Parts: sequence; structure tokens; C-alpha cells
Amino acid sequence: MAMVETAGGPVESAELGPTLVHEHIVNINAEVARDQPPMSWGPDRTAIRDRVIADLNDLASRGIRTIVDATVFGHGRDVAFVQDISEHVGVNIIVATGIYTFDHLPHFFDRRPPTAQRPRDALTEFFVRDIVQGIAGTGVKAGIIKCATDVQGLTPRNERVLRAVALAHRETGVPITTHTVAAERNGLDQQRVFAAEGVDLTRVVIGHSGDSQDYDYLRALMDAGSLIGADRFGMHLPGRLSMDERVAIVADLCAQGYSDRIVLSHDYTLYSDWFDDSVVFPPEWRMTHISDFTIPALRARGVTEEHITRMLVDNPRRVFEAQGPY
Amino acid sequence: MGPHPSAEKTGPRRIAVVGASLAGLESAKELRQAGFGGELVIIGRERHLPYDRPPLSKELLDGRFGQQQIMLPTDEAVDAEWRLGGTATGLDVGRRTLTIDGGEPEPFDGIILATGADARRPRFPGEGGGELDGIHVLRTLDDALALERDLSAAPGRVLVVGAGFIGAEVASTCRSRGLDVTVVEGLSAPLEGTLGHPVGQVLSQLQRDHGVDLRLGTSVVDVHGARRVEAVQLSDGGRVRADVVVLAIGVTPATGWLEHSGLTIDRGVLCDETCLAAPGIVAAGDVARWPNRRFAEVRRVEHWDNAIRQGRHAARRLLAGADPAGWAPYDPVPWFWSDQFGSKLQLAGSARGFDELRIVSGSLGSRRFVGLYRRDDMLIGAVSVNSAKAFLRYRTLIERSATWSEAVAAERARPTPAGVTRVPPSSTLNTLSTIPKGTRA
Repeated sequence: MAMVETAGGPVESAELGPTLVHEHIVNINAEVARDQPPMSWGPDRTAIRDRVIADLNDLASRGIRTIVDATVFGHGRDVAFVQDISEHVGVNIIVATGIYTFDHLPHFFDRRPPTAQRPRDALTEFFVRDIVQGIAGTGVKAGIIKCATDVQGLTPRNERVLRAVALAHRETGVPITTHTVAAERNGLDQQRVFAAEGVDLTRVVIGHSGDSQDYDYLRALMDAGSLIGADRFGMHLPGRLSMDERVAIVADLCAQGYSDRIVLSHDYTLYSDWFDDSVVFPPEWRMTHISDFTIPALRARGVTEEHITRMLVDNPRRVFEAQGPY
Repeated sequence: MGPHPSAEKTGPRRIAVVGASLAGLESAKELRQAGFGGELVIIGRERHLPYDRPPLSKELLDGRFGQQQIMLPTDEAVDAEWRLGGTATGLDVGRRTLTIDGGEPEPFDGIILATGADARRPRFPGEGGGELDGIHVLRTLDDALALERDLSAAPGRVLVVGAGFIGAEVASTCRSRGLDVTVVEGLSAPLEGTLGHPVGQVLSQLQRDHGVDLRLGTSVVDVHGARRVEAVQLSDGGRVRADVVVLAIGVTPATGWLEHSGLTIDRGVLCDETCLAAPGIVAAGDVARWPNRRFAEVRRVEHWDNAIRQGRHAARRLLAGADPAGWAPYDPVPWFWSDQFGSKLQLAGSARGFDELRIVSGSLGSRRFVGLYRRDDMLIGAVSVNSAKAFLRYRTLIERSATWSEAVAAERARPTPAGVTRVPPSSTLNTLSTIPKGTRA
């Protein structure tokens, strides 16, 4: 038994229940929202708040009990907003720290790398404060650390971010979750850096792995101990996998005995200021897609209830239950 | 920027109504009824005089009505200069001028914007963006006539994209014509986002019971065919043969021509709570987005009933000019109905962001019920299927801004209570849905 930090305060790990491990409540650019709020929130922030609450309660009605809000620095995190809505919804929300960048770093961090005189990276310090002291004066503490590697690959800055994440993880014991481009197989690069920093790879979720049908790659990630995120269900964008293909990957890997290394999610954002109205996403890309469609489709492919419970309940719980610095 | 000098002293002399559908027509009629005796110009992009849109997906599409039967009476607004087939291409808020069909800007004392909305038509990845014969939208009379022609040719299979109001009505009409119909809907149930999942599930079953091949949780990612559509590719990996495809995936407000007008364009023409968009300029109908103080929300309402009421309100607001006595807020209870598969669905108020849906009359299973929507302690909306009489009572309660306790008390006070049912949380995660929310430490 362990306590897990959420936007509503600590929750016993046994109470996490069915968990979506990689979602987003809002993506709100902090500086735009501070200086020109309607450009980020539109004219009617209350309507957005109502909709987010309604969507999360809709999700709760499907039996999901916890979501991980994998939104971090540079990604549009607004913890005060998340704390506010968490009081009105029937799901636990685990908030994240970390940084969402593929290479670029804000000057604040770019000019504060670890040096011989000051070996502690400002990034590590920031992450640890989010975890230990809480975020933005809300008292909400981060329960997971996130980082991202994209098509640029392991640039020097990206490697610095991964090391800073690894150090914050070892110092606090909260798990790591990542963004990858599975086609680039860069989850393996992330594992290499984490391992070099002494990270126990069973504490790491390699996100967006479900975008790939490269079974050798996926098995390599899991054989090294990590979990893979089949975390973009419903994201049926042009050039990406269809639902059948995404389901087939999970079903095949379950049949091969990997159900204890897979976690599920949508990577869906309830409100994002990233896109204007001209950008249209598939209507089925919603936080209820897994409950309503993926799970029945997995069952139809012979995935057992035991496997489903493992991916949705037991694996996330194990990730959050492993605690303590090392 | 104040009102036009001539308007300030004597009231407006020359008014333009941009948009010749229901909202535009009703505003023109209201102007005349309120005594406006000046020059009235009505600009309509379509070549037709105003007609009624609800039959387009029903009586016109199944051949029961012809074009004549859906024309709206225009005699009350007879004293107007109709510029049909004309397009307003520019508006200058400061000078209050309109550019029509690329001519010289024409000055007006008042302008009513009622340009409505256009059916959304996505581009598909295939060659030409999927502009194949046999792919339709349904918004205008010409759209409906074109679709009706295709349906008369007895196609093998019709595929409807979107199970909202229009999509469901088109599917219903096609089934009554004996056509095979597939409906593709991205949500987990039709209208789930508007009415909630339990009501959506009733509508799912209604469609399936009438022989619709309803595909939920998926969407069309591409269309295939040489010149004419032959099949569509779905995001779940499936492929469905189709000879006719109807895209019923909503509309976008027709504001493209207003981008540089000086008006605030944000998912519609943004108005104040009286429907005023700028001095001397009002908006009504599908194109208008305004704060409805009754529901504390800023939105557009695409309903037939709203086109009438908002058209009239906007006309009165325009005539009120600078006189605050005429600045009444527009705070209607939106009301809407849909006829599909032999059932009548009605919605009053708003169900957006509701906290609870409670069935207060009948039952979901019998497809004869009234459901109420609660937000905090307010009754914000009512939905009904095949229960018009009971529905009316709750619609009235919403109009009186009844609290939830009052609405529920009204139900209990009835002599023969219909029984109050709380809708249980639906779940396909049967084995997991009983796990309680984590207890806070």
C-alpha cells in the first residue's frame, strides 16, 4: 500500500482503479493565457470549464477512476485549473512535472546547465520542487515525471533533459513517462540514457509506443523492463494507425505474454489552445473511446478480462506503488 | 463611433438584411410590423425566395413535398428589394457600408446579419480531396433536390456520415424509401455530446431497430471511386461500399466575408446580449453568437425556432437604436425537435455541462420519456422522446427559471407520479464499473 499524489490530494494506490496513463486536461500556453487570456481560453472560459467537467464525469460513468494528466512545463500545464475541476469530477487526476520539448529550452534553463561549480541541473531542481513542494502554490504535488524525444532524436539538450528527469526520479521515486516517435525507435535511446543514470527501467513508461507495429522494437522495450504506452486510441489521423491495427498490436502482445508491460490511454486533450477551429480531429478521439470501443474490440480478439484488468488497473498501480528514492 | 446621424434623429431610413432564410425573413417582417417605412434591401445568396428548411431532410427528401410546399409566405415583407442570387462580399463597420457582388460600397443606416451557416465538407486525402459524384451535404434546397435525384435512382447503399439530427433524419427517410443505410458516427452514441450517453443509447437502438447499420466510434478517413463514389474507408480499419454518401457533420457559420469588417468574428458573429454586433448592426439566426444570460453561456443556436425569435428580436433591437428602453436582452429557452424513425425527439433549454440527467416520466427502455438536466441546483434542460405533452410542462418550468428542487417538487406534486428514475452510470466496462472512486486521505 502506498499513497499517490493527485490534484485532490493523496490517494491510496489500491484506490486508483482503472487508470488512463497518458491524457491531457488542458493545453494552455502560460504566457499567452497570462497576458492575452482570450487568445488562449477564448471568450468563455467558464464554458470550457463546464465542458471539461462534463467530459470527465462522462469518463467516470464508464468506470475509469484515475487519469494521468501528462501535461508539463512547455506543454500548457495549468495546475490551478486542474485542481479546481478535480473537485467536481469523479476521477482522480495525477498531475505531472517534467518538460515538453524536443530540443529547444527556455533561456531560464538553457543558461543553467549542470556545471562543475553547480552540478545540480536547474531542470532537476524544478522537477523536484514540483514533486516535493507542490506546484504554483496550489499544494498539488506532481506524481510522475514526463519528458519527450521526437524526430530530432537525442540532441545534446534532449539528453540533458533525460538525465535531469532521471536524477529527479531517483531523488524522489516518482515514476517516469515519456513521449516518443515510435517509428524512430527512440524509446530505446531514452532507456539507454536512463539506464546510464542508474534508473530502474521498470519504473518507466515509454509513451506512444502503440503507434508502432514494429514488434521487435516493442518487445525490446518491454524485455528491458519498461512498460509501453498503447496510449493513442482514437487518434486515427491520416498516416497513423487505424483502430483495428492499434487493437491488433495490444492483442498480439497480450497473447505473447506481455500484458503486464502494457498500459492504455488516448493522449487526448479536453481543451487545447494549440489549434484554431480549422483543425478537425476524428470525432471518436475522446476519453471514452477505450471504454466504449477498444475494450470490446480487445475482447473480440480474445484478450481476457484478466489481461484487461492488468493493463488498466494492475500495471498503473504497480507503476505508482513503486516509491522511494534510490 | 455613434449611430448614424440621420438614424439618431429620425430612425433608420435604409436597412439591409443580409441572408434571405428564416431569420432574415422574420427580421424583415418584424421591421415592417414595427412600423419601419424606409427602404429595405434583402440580399439572399440562394436563387430561391425564403423556404422552410426542416422538410428538406424529411418530406422533400422522400418526395412527399415539392418545392412549392416549402416556400415561406413573404407577403408581409413584400415592400422590400429582393436581391436573390446576390452575395454580400464586404462590410465596413465604421462607414456602415455593404459591398454586394463586388459593386461599390452601399451605405445603410442599419444592417441585419442573417447569413446562416454552411455545411461542413471535409477534404479527403484522395485525389481531388474526394470531390466525387454521389457525395452530398444537406443544407439548402438545391442540396436536397440533388440528393433526392440520387436517391430516386435507387442506389444500392446510402452511407450517412454523422448521426446528429440531420444525419439521423436523412437515414430515417432513406430507410422509409427502402434503401440500405449505413450511418457512421464518431461518438459512442448519437448526440451523446448534446444529450448525454443514456439518451444517445436510446437513439442508437432506435436506428438499429429500423435496420440502420450503425457504426459508432469511427469516422470516414477517405472516399474511393473513379468518378462516382464507390466505397469509404473508416478509421477503425473497415471499408464500406456506398453509392451515395451524405456528409452530415455539422456547419460552420457563414462569416468568411466578415473577416476584415471590424466585427468580432469568433465562431460566429459575436454580439452583445441584445444581439447587437456593432452600432447599427445586429445579427440573428445560425450566424449569431451571443451571451444568453439565462444559461450563462455564449453560443450559437442553430434551431428553426431560434431563427424566428432571434430574427424578430434583432429587428426590434436595431430599431431601438440609441434608446436604452429598447435594449432588451435576448435570453430564450432554445427549443428543438427532430422526427426520426417514427419517433419525435424534443429538447428545450441546454444540456451543456449537465451534472445529472434524471428521467421523470416514462422510461428510456420504452422510448417514451422525459428527462431533465440539472446543473448545480438549476433545471437547465429537458429532453423527451414521444412525450410531447409531459415535455411541454417542463419546458415551461425552464422558461420560469425553476430550480432543480422546484422541478423535482413539481413532479412529486402530480397526482399520478410517473415514477422518478435516476439514470445509472452506463458502462461497457462492466467488470470494472463498480470500483469506487479513490478515497481521499
